[in-house]
Amino acid sequence: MKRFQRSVAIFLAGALLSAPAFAADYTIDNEGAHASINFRIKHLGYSWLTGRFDKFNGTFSYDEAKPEASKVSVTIDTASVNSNHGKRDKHLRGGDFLDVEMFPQATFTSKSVTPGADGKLTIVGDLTLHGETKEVSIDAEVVGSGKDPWGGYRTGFSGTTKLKLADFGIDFNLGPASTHVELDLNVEGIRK
Amino acid sequence: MWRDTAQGYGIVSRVLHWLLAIVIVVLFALGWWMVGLDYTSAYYNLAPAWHEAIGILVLLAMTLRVGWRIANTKPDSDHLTLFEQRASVLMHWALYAVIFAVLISGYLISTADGRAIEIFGPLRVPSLIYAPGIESLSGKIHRILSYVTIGLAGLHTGAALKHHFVDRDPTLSRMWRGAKHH
Repeated sequence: MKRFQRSVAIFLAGALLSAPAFAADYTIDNEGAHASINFRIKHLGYSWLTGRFDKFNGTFSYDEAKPEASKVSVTIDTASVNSNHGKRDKHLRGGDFLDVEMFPQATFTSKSVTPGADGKLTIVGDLTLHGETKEVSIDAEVVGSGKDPWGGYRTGFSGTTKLKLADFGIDFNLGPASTHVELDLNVEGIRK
Repeated sequence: MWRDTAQGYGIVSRVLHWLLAIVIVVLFALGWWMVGLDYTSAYYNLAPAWHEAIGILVLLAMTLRVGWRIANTKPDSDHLTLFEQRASVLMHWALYAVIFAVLISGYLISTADGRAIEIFGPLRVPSLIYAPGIESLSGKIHRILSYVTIGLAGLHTGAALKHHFVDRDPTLSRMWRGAKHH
């Protein structure tokens, strides 16, 4: 009996170790809006002003057993900026900020994913915003993964990063407390 | 005296004409200036608030002006050639149409997200058309047609000065002094 248990254990261990690391491909669930690209920037240094991009799409591949092989790519419709204030959004879409007629899209494409402790990931990639491409690093973590009640399989992440607006050629002076914008990203993907 | 007659413009038309001429040019200059203000300027919020409030008052005055024009006899323009008569009528209605388009597009920039326009504090003009996201398109129309308005107003002014100084006819003076009394 002991022998049997041991052989089962060896078999299972072998099965796990030799499991092919096939990364599953996911589509970000923008259709169901289980994903959001939010930003926040200090207003005068006295409070946080938050907003988001309503329209974006993207895909990622992720394998729990081999997170470093993960990839993510996202395209954002810059004109969909929404800070819950029409006149401000008009200003943000204009030449002082996003210049959406000239630069209708922002994109992020990962270059490397480095796993940390407790399911944390560091995602380094190229962000193209306002026509400028810069490398950014996103601190991300897996929120959860598993079957949904409707026959699909989902994996979700959250992540944060911080950008200096001037790095992307956005130099409208909002005051010394408002030179950087923080991004809060929530992504849920449906496995293809 | 109040009403326009075949002999000339009454006091209502003349006051509205010159008041609107001045205020529209001031509004254009204010708009031009305010969009270039730094975020830290003391006028960054105040100038657009004035621009919006004055714009609403101009919308009311323009409605009164066009209504009054329709409700009154158009003064005779027998001293003008047929081409000048037709061109001036076309110019006047083009100005009315473009000015209304500028006013309405401007109103939408400020109110399409559901917010109201405050007129110097207590009076609030509510949002009547809820269309969030339309602000950028409205803004583009507002900007382009503002230039068109000033361009048309320039042609209108040039024509009036030509009639006054070159043709030496009463086109300009009757908008200032009113009807000749017989």
